[in-house]
Amino acid sequence: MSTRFLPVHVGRLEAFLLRSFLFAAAVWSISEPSRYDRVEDASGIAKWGVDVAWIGQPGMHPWVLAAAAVFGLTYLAGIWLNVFWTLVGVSGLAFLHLTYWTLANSQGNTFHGSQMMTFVLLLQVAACGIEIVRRFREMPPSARWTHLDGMLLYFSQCAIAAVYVTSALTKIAKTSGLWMFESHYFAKSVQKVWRQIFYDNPSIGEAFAGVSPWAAWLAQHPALARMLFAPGFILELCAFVMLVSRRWAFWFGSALVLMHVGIGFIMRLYFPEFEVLVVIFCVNLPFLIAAAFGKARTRRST
Amino acid sequence: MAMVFVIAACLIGRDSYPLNNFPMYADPGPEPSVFTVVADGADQPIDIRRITGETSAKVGKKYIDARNQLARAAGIREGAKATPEIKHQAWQAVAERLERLAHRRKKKLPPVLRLKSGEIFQENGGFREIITPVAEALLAEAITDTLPK
Repeated sequence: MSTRFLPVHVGRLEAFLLRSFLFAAAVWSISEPSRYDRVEDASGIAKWGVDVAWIGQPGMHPWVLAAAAVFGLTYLAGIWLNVFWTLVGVSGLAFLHLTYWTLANSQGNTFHGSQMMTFVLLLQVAACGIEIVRRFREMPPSARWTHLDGMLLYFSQCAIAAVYVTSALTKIAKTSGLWMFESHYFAKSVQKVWRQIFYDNPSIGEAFAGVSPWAAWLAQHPALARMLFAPGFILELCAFVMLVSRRWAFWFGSALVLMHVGIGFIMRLYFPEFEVLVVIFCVNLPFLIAAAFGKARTRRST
Repeated sequence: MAMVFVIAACLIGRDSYPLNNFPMYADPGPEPSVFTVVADGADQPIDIRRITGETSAKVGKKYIDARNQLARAAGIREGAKATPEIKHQAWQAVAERLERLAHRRKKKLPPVLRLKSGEIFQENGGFREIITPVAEALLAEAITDTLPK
């Protein structure tokens, strides 16, 4: 049976590092006190009447961080405990992250940099829930449903791939499939971002007052501009291949990180949470560290 | 399967956190790109991000959201075709929210806050920009000043 598009085995050290890195990334994502203390235009669960404004009240943030620390440590300890404790830990982190960013996205404008983290956490909650049901029904592990940490990694990769593929599908839908042919118009988008940065803080943004050198170059070279942006679109559309195997996840993850670095360099648009999650779950830095550690240990023992 | 589920939910949910169809830069075309300028009563652009924590782009989106909501309530389908009164009302509401954000950061906005919209056209291998005034808002201090003593 082919092992492609199936969850992989995750060792104890890799699992510990995966969980530690996600815990750290989730806390980093909510590390600043919320700027908002009320809902202006409800989004997501706030639209259903769930109160999210409590997370932005003055004096609340230290308690939010303390709760995140407790849930995060429970999530970590879950490696050695019953799956129930992993569920409790990751559910707590997911709840805090969802609440914090729902409030931020209930202000009349959408921020697109935090959804991936919420999806990773929510899909990990789903993986724990399914694992509990499977254990309750005494279902044995299978190639499609291996062990908990293998599924946590697999579901996280699914969440990451879904964000990129959705973005590509929206591009196709909005341009009737002509996105790549029209991508030379990105020159004015680059110039727009340049203007936005200037008008954010005009008293200190003098460097952004004129025309962006990248925007000028792209406007003068439309064919090269299309060639520059096309690979990014193809990467997004084909992001699902990161589920093929560890090797595919590594190379595709590395390419996505490069894409983000390139976008940051040219457009000054940064998606740090996306990059961090891709490095954790696709490039799989925890696996690389665990593999290096394992090799070093093997070398010492021979 | 999990991936397909999330994609379907995102495409259907569109913009209901965390669901989103990620439309950023999804529609490049010859139409002008729009940016926002926030200025004081003397038409000088102000450091809106330093004062409120919000970028000029976010301020623009908040205004469009408020304007579209008010326009819909008034039976106008297209927000861009809202009356000057609706535009003023929307900007006044957003300006007051910005003032609260500034207050939380122990900073102050000027008493008169003007919203302007910039457009960038990509033409003949270069760019052309137009900035037009949209609306003006008076904040608490300015309102107090205009009250009869």
